[in-house]
Amino acid sequence: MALLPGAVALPSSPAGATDYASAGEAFSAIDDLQAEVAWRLQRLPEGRSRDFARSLLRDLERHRLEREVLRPEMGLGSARPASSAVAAADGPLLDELRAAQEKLTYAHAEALPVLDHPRAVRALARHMMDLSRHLTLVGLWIEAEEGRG
Amino acid sequence: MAPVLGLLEGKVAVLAASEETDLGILYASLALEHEAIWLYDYGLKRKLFSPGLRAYAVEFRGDHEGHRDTQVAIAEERGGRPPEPLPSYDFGRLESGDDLVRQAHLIERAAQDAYLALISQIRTKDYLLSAGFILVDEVRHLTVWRRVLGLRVW
Repeated sequence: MALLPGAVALPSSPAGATDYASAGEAFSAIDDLQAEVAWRLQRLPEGRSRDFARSLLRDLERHRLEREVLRPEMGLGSARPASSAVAAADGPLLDELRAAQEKLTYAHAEALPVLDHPRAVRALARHMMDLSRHLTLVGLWIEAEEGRG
Repeated sequence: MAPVLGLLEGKVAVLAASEETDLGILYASLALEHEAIWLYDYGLKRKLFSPGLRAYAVEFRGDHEGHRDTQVAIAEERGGRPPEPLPSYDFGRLESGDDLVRQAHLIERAAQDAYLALISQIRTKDYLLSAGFILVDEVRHLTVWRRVLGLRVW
């Protein structure tokens, strides 16, 4: 019984990790990936899942605001508008959400080495912890749905 | 490793950016990984995890073994002598599945907190990347056990 069905366990060996050239590039990538996760969360159906989505969206907004505070401290310009281009959503809703969350979580780990700013490292590590928790919960949800199927 | 313990105990706010600090962090992290592996091994060998939770215990033990191996490799690459696991650890009463899950929850919480406290003190990029991925795993483990224990997760 896999925790995240069909998914490779999140690696602790970072082979194939994205190598960001700068903190600015990493922050921009995170902004875009977060926008996609937020878009997919907003598509979750009404009911308890919408409460869950709202909780996660509050976390994501807090992360975005904290990155905004860090940007000038790190000598980065203001965030550009996040890319609103999202790949066509034609697969199962939860699977696509999980895949997007996984990319966002990985992007935070991959950003850590280029930040060169201890406070930013600590902030993004905390954000990454929230994201790992979110990702795990969606994985458990998928597992529960498959158990019912 | 004394300065690293000082940071974990809240007695020190910042560690000197140095190879010695990185090695100290590696050794402290390895100590936690050894404990976690021992706990899951203990529970699995004695079949104390319920059938529904056994797969998580096997998976998480595998993750911790990977964390251990990654960090041993990094330490040895830098000429360090990583600590070996102890023959046994005292976790108090470990007689039931509930005991195991409670202790697993505590060790994962300790690992999460330790990696978060230490991660901004890591000097080298390769170790910082690995530590990030390791922290993702620790949070995943903790989240699962919190769900099992009926604790709030969102």
